[in-house]
Amino acid sequence: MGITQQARNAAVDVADGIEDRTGLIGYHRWFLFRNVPRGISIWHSLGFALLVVFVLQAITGAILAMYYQPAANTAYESIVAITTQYDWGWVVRGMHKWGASVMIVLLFLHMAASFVMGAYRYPRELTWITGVLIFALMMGMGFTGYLLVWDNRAFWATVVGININGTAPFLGPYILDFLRGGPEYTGQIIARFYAIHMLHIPGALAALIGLHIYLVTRLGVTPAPWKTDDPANHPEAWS
Amino acid sequence: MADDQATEPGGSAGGSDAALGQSVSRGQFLTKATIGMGAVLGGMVAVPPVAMMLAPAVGGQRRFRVPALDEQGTPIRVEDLPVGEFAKFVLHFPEELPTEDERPRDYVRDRVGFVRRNPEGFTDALTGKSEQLTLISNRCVHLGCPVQETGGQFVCPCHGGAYDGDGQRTEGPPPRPLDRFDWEVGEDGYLYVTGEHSLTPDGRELDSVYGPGQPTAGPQSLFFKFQP
Amino acid sequence: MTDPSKPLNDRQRAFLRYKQATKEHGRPFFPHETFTDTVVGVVVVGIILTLTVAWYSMAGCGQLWDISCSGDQVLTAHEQAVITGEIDDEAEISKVKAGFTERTGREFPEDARIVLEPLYEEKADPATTKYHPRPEWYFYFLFYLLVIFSSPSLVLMGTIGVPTLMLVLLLAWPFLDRSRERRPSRRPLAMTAMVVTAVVLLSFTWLGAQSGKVGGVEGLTDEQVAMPGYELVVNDSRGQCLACHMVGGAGNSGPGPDLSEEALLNRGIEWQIEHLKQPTSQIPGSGMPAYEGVFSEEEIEAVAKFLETLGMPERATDPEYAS
Repeated sequence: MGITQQARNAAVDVADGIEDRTGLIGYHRWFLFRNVPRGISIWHSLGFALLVVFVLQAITGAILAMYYQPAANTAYESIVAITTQYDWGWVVRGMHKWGASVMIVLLFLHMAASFVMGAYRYPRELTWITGVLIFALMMGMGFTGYLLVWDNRAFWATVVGININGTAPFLGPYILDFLRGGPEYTGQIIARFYAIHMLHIPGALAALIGLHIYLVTRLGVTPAPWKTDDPANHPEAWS
Repeated sequence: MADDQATEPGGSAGGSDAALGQSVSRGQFLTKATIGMGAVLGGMVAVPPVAMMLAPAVGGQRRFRVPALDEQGTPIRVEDLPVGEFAKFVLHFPEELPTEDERPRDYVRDRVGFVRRNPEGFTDALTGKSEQLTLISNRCVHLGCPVQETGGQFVCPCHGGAYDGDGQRTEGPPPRPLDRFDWEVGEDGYLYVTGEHSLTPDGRELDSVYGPGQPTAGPQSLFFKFQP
Repeated sequence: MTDPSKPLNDRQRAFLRYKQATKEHGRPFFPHETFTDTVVGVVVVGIILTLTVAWYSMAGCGQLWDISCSGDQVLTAHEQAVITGEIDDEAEISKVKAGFTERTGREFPEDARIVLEPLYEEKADPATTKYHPRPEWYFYFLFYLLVIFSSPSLVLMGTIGVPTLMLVLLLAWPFLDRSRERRPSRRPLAMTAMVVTAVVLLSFTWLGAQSGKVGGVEGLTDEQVAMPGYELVVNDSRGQCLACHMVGGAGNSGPGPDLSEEALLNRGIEWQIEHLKQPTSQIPGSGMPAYEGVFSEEEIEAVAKFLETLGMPERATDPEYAS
């Protein structure tokens, strides 16, 4: 028995041991080794692309957080330092910045594709609704992340954005003070938006994305309705 | 997985439990107790942080007393102000003046306004009052962009709001006149700003300052009657 | 799960049929579909990296695809503002250029263009009265809603009403459109709604990008730009003309009219001068501020002459207007 064979057997043993205790490999098989309809096009890959960009945003964001200093006197200066001083700084900041823009475009395309294919019909209503919530939270990520650069454009766009929230009936005046962290704009707002951008919304997003992917796996993919040679796509199989 | 049809015996009491009589009430009691204790536990964990998070939303209006500074950062003496014209002033927070080695820009709370020293016998066309000074906030009451003074009137660079010399809206989307600062002249003759308040379109001065975009008159103002 | 004793309804039966057909005739997700997915992923991340490099090279080093600069060789926010045209005061520009050469030992990149975005603007200044706020591009469509609902009683529609309604519609859509048909050609209502939404979103994003643009007046000849009135209309902080008017695609689309073709109205220099001094003397009920006392007599005349060339650029060389 060659050394590779031994190593392979050892790996299988380890995998079996893990499966025996956790059952996780079974879930993994449930996710990967399933059939999808034949009527699938490149439009069905947008969801995966969004997941990739989300992971990219999470990783670049986690690293940027190691260099960013969320306070009125240091936020802008640390952004300048990240962009000009630290090795790889501009690459990581650029990926995070442009990742956000690309993500918004992909979100719109993904939503449009699901709409055109009628992928929101029974039993996938919840998949659509979690998707819309993810979209709304992503816009919230864009709004809170924009302030952190702390340049003129970031500040004034945020002022207008917060005031837009402040016109909500009844709750508006309270939302205004909540978002600003008080009755005026102070250094508080950077720490506040930083926490919302780093922890609060991403936590909710991770849970919603997990649910979304679980639903897609459980309910199966909607084939493109114009691919009529797919038996799974026969009108009789339209729910 | 969710496809599993296995039914759990716990939770509600099954048929065999029912025969035991007493253990039914015990099961029901434990169910209720679990829910009750769970709520207590959740409350103990969640209330303090959520209260801290939301505290600024009910913090109330700010009262302060800060000197009005000109653009070079020197306090403004009322008698040095030109009569009948607006001069820009800046408020720095916190409430003491910046020292020499602190850059004024470190203060995020900077606010800007325009002050006009009114001529003798002047009556404010908006409020109907005759006051020595008129202090107008530069925060556009549409959505908070910085308004700019031009020829004794005010225009907003964002969405085309325009106001006359008393801050009354003349054009564009703003739903009420520009906010006013409360002021007093110190014994030293310098101008101090002590607060801020909003006005209704017909010139009534309100106790508190409303957020930009919030109407102070008409049916929509009911949405914003309660201010923190 | 649903009660197994209940008979299946049509939808449930159809879904079972879909499940069955997929199981029997479908393709394995791994590795067939995962391959396509990874290719798309590589393309998407490639686009992000390309945008990053293009952004940094243009705005940081002043030359597309040149990423060799770092540290104090990178253009500062102020220098980037010179390139984007936000700073267009000649004295300031030459000062900035000299400062750049002194610091870096390089020539200022004269022909640099920042097509994407600057690396950053100058540090947030809450006390500014000169700044013109603009949102990130993906909020332009919301920004434009504010321009549309520009009457005081409709403000809440633009800020809260319409966006909330759209979100609720999106959330409720699966329950509003409950037919089983999925072919786009047989869902005219849904497809129309979708196309209208797409067109509105795209055009609002475009219009939002155009509205209130600074330092980007287009379509003027060099002679027009050289006129003294140009500076007063486009850049002067006393005038603030573009806060209410559009000229050549820049400025706000309201409340004042677009001035790009003002000369075609044949009002004449005299009318313009009187109107600038006291707008209500020419247009009763006009909400425009009076510029008498804001601008000097000569400046008002310069503005009037410049306005009378808009849409008729050949007048800019005519001595009657040019002087």
